[in-house]
Amino acid sequence: MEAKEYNICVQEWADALFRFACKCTGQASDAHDVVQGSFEVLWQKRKDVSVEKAKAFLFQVAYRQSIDNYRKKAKVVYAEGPENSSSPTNPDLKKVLERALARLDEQSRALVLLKDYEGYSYDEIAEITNLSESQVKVYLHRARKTLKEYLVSVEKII
Amino acid sequence: MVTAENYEEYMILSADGELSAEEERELMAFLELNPALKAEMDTYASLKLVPDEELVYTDKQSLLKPETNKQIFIPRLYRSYGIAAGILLLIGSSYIIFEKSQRNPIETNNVATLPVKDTNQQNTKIVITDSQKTQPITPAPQPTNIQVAIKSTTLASTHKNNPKELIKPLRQAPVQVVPKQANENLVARVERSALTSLPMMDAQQIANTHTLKTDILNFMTTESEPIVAALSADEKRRTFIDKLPLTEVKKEGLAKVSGSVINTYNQIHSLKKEIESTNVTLAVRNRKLIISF
Repeated sequence: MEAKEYNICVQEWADALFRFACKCTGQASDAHDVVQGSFEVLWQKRKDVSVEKAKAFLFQVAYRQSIDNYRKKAKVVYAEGPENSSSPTNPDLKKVLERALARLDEQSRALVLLKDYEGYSYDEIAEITNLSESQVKVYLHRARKTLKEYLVSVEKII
Repeated sequence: MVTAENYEEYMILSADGELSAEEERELMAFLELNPALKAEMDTYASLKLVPDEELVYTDKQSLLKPETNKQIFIPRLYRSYGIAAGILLLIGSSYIIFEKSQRNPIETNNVATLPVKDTNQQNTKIVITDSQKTQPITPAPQPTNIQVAIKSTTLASTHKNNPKELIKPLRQAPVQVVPKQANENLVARVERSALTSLPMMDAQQIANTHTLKTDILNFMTTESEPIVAALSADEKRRTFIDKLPLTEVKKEGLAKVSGSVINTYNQIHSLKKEIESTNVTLAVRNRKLIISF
């Protein structure tokens, strides 16, 4: 990968990586550092990373840095999205899901984000997170049940 | 197979798009049989998180790298010139090295020049030059028994009839010392088939100059009998060579040559002594030579 391809990757994947890092770390400032660090690693390893693998490589680095950030801080105070963020379809459901996502552990949250935000399959998520496919399946199963229980409980309150 | 125990797992996998077509049909068949579970299936399907497109990374410029893709352009013509120059340089250096290897190591750089003067003149000066330096050597007072003859017979005969023809610079001057007669003094013959940087002189002078009285070998001897003693005086010879304006390598070479000359002379001298003491018959192949004194 040359500088030209690298710059294309910046334009193509920086926003998605930032959103993923924001949801993983819970803080925009941490997400900013994760994005910068991820692209820095990509630049250093650009000779070994093809353009086709660049996105997965970036999310792999961002996932590890987010996990490291979580372990350093022991407990992440998850901040919900910006005040002006809203879903054009169902803003209430989106806010509930954001709060439900905050209740997940760091790893399950990252898996849900990789699945829903980026549309990765289980085996691709396993490759990015360095987990087995069955582990990914189990973690996502638990995460989905947690999200569903939270959503049902909120609906009951409403 | 979808059952009441595992239908939830099938619903989650279906929401994530991880079921095969066959498994999807099994799940749909199960829900047809259990319509109360369809609401739960819709709940799992609604858990899909949607990325917030308004959340963007605003500092992309800090991540971008300069796309410098400069290449050094060398015209083909210059490349050809460079290759040709390299070949010429290689050939030239090889020729110079070959030439140097063919030369006499004594005369590689330093050339002894003998400015030839009138042969009858007693005090002939020998000037040995090395590069820009010139060092005249004043002859000793008793060198008269030593004669140095330039045996450029070819040149002499060639130019005898044409005195005004100038002699070209010559090269390679092996020195040969031979005794002229038993009771005569040592005659040193200097063959100069080719001597570089030899000063210009006309052929008539060379024709008249068969012997030059000089003390070039004064370091070796002064009289007939003390020759052996003088020749064996290695230190004296070495001192004389050290005074020459030559490099150490050339001095070593000159010392070896002079040493071999002295050894040869000693052998001849001892043979002469033996011959003088008794009549000797020498047999060379099938011819006999009887010498008597």
